[in-house]
Amino acid sequence: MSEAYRRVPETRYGRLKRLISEFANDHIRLVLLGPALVSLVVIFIYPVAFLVWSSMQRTLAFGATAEFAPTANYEAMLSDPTFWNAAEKTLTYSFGSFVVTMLSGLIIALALNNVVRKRLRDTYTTLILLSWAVPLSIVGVTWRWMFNGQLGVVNKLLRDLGLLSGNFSWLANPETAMAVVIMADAWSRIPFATIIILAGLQSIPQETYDAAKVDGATTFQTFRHVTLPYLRPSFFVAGLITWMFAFRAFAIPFSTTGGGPAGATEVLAIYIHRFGIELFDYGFASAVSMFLVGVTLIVAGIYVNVILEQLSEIEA
Amino acid sequence: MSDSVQGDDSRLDERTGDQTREVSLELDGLTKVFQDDEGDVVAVDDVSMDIYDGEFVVLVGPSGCGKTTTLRMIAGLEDPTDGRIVLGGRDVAGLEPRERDVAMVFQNYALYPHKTVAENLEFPLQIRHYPSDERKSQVESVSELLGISDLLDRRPGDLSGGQQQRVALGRAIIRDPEVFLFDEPLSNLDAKLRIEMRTELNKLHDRVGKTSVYVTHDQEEAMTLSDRVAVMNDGELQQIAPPQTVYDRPANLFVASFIGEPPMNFFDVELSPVQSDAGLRIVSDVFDLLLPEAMARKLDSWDGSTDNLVFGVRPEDVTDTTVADETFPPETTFDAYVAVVEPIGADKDLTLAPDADAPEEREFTVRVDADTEAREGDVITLAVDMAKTHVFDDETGTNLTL
Repeated sequence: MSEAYRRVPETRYGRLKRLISEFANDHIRLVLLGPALVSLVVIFIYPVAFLVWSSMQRTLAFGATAEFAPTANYEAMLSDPTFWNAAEKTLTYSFGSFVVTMLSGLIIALALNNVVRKRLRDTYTTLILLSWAVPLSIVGVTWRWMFNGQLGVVNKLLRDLGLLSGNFSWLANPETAMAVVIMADAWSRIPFATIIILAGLQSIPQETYDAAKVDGATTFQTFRHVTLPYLRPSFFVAGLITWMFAFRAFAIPFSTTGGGPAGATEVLAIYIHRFGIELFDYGFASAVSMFLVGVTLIVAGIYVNVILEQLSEIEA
Repeated sequence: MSDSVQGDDSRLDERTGDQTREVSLELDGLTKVFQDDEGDVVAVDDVSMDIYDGEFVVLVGPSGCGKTTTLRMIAGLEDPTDGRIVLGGRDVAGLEPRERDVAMVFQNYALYPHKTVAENLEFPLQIRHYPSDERKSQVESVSELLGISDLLDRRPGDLSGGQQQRVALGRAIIRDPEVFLFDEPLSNLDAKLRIEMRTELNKLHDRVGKTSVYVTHDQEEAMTLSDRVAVMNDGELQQIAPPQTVYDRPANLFVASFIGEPPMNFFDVELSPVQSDAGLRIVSDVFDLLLPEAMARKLDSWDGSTDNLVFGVRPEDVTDTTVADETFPPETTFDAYVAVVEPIGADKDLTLAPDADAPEEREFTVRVDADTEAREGDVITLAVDMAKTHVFDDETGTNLTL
């Protein structure tokens, strides 16, 4: 390198220092990115590579050994009717949670945005965020007890209101069990969606609202022509993240129903858990995980490249 | 104060020669009080004015003077604490903006970024459920009027500031409202474009001929655009009159100091009677000048205290005697020390002081002919055009020589 770097005295130690500093200077990108790349490899690339590899192993003797069979697990997966059942439940679950979360998030964010006093608004926002801090398995257990047939508070309330005579076992009925886990899942995701949408709402310039008012728009027309278009980016971001997490959800359905009754709420994550952890079939569980990761990546990829791209063109 | 406001209505009629104009917008005792953590803030204080059909009135004043709040109350974006707004013969208090017949142009244009120019223009018609062929022809004629026909398919983000402001104007014009409201529409544009758009607004107003209320802090904009200027300060209407009247006959100290560039010079003065006749001399440590007879009579008839009088002279009403052809009577001249000479082309601005050692706050400005030979450090003799000067009462600010 240039003379400017030769100021270190030419002792042996100084020579070493100089070599290091010259190396760092010549490979500055590597030096700066290195730590991040290393941690990425350790916590992301390696596990995924391991997953790919293990999905190609046929598990033998209850997980004790395995043999290489690249497609065997995928073939078994595609021909297993319970896999398709789990895939269908996962779609119902994730889209159900997505719809409930986004609608509730929008409504709560609009309500919060209309709280005039900042102190009060911040208090409400904090309270809503608190529910986000509750661990997901605790959420699941709480909802399970709330909807318990004999002891649940929901049945008690319905009986007191005269809407229900005997007991109703919400979690023993396939349709209502799915509805309950969807509600529980949405409950845990609403705060996040609310915060993102609220931030979007607060970025809308007051003058645009004023302009719409003077132009003659009613409240609903203002919402449709000003609020919603401005909210689109935050809505899409919150929506993608909500759906992605709900698609891979495990803790809430597992702690609420455990996948029951009779597989009615067995989403793919529980299915994977059943084969991989309970039945020791790592190879098969890995293959299903690959499917889960693959679908998520494809959807997110399309989303980011197509939808967000279009949005940014309009915004620019 | 109130006298000057009253008197100027007739002045308008005199200027336009039209006695039968109808009042389009009437503000009556308009007041707005904002609740704040530290108590109540009076933003607009008992503002009353009549704005005639087709008239262009500019509200001007320093920031925080209540001009924008007044405009927003007319638009219906802000509820008055007290007072009435009568628009086209209809009391519009408590009505939503859409129930009033107003259109507004905002400082930041406030276009809908997700809509194209054409969609922005037709929005006011669309939400009123106009048939689409009528919307289309309206968009065409308005965009032609404003020269934005080739921009119709673009989005606001792709337009320059001037183009965006044109679209915002179009969105206001397309509805054919009773009154146009402008909230500092040119202040986001650069200086050159601002002057271009100002001229264009003037032409547009001549063509469209709608009652307009325009808010600005720029006195030049106020003077060039308006039929009448309404000067506001501290929430109060100071004077409403045609621009030349506001300049020539400012109602009070505030108007005198706010309108005019460079601003009017003010001197603390005393009155001294002239023995030989009924005249009055105006005396300070810089000068001793004889007031014209008409002004002296007005001062005589004033029954307030003459202890705190302020004498106002505009920089352009002072002449450098050494280069002038005429001779000036000695009772209109005085000597001053030249501190700074600033050539500005057609004229020179001189910063003067009573003497070389005077502190900065005693300096004053005059605008003289460019061929003046005054240099920094000279003492020159100046003549004052006494008929154009004013004497104010410092306590109330009232112009005593109107």
